[in-house]
Amino acid sequence: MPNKRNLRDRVASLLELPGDVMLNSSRITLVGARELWVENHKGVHEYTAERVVLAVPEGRLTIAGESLNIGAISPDQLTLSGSIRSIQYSD
Amino acid sequence: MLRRLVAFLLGHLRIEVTGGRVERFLNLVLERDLTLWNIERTRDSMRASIPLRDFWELRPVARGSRCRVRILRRRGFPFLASRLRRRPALLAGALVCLAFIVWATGHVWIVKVKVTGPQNLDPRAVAAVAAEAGLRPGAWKSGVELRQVEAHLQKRMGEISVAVIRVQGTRAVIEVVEKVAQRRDGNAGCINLVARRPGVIEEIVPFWGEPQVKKGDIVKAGDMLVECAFKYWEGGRPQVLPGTEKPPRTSVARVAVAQAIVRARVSYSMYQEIPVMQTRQVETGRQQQRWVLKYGDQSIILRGAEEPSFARYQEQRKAYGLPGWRNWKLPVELVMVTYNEVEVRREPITRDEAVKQATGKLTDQLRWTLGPGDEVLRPVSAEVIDQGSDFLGIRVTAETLEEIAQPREGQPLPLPEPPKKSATNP
Repeated sequence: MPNKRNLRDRVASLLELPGDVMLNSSRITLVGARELWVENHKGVHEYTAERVVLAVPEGRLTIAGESLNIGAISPDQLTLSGSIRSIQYSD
Repeated sequence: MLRRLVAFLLGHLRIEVTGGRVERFLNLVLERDLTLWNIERTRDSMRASIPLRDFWELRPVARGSRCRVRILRRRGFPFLASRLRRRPALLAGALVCLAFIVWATGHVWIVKVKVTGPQNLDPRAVAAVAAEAGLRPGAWKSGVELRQVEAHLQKRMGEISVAVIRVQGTRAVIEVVEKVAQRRDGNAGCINLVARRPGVIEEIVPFWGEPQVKKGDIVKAGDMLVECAFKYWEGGRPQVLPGTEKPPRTSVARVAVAQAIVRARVSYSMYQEIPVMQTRQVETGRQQQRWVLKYGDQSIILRGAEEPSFARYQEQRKAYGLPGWRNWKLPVELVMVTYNEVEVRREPITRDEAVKQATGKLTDQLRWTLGPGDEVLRPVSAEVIDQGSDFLGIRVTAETLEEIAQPREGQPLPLPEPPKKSATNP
């Protein structure tokens, strides 16, 4: 599997293709500190008004802040709004 | 915007999820490809919006996550429709209202005409010709071909050079530009200023034209004050002996519409015979009232008799209407009529009263005839010059300083020849 991953990395790098298409990575768009778009997520681990933990292909994505609301959720995209303080990846 | 419209049309619910694990609830929703939006988390619950069609699939989700789901609000067209089905009169009223709005906004209700030019054209005539072509108050907007109406106006009315019609809402504005008359005989129109009443010239300030009078001149009504033409001596200023009159200037240099301020002292004198015995109406103090509610052409008497019981009376009317909107008023008003009984007495008047009546008449006349810049130099004075058995002959005089010039069209004058261009040698 690591070899396969490595091969994909190399092909993506060679052809200058975006990583989220080739490598099945998550894509995060942050608009100021008020709105966050996560594409290619795998589900919700934890959801409170101060902390949202999402499952992503890279592991876990922790978003901390205040009054965090999920604007919309669908199998491949999630929109989060509120006062975002930090974003952290973990295994 | 589109998402909100679709959500409204399909109907959606605001739900509250309590107990269990809300994260599990969300993941099960994702697994079943259901849609949730506007998700808010509180300490012990979660609120979200869900389309009506997805709500029925929430039962296994709730069971799987051990959550309880409660509906907070129902929104959208399906709920509105079911509510309206229970209230058909409301639905019918809304439909009638909508139909009325569509009908009312589909018509032209106001046709306004704006004429630009010498203003010889009557706007009502333009509106009448436009009505022939279909543009009239009350016509369907879709039934009026604006370009055809414009063409009809230009065809029927030779005075119009351009006609443009704009429709804004229910208002049509016809803008027409009138043709300007042109003289083809080579003569220019001449507007002189003449005196409109006799007087002594006190001040003359010419703006355009050649003044024919000076301060101190006595003029009669119709005398020329300012001539329209600027004239000069053909062949230059004549050489005459000092003290002798110069010959009049005859060649026209330029023709204009004469404009000037010409103020003159004007005397007014009026002889009046005031009867000594005069009848006058004196109020007796008795009064009756009638209140009438008017609706269009109909009137209902709310209080009082139809006619007062007095033989002679004076009537005072006060109308109280409801506030309208722009130039539209509610056709309902309350009219309060007060009848004051009067009796006729024939009494002699004093000399002072007779003088007051005589001066009052001249003062009234001056108030109507004098312009805003005019003034009364000597106040109205009265003198009793004749006295009969039943009348007093009174002469009333006054002097004013007033503008006496009025325009009058004169004979067209030949236009001066344009200056000839001198030939240039190469």
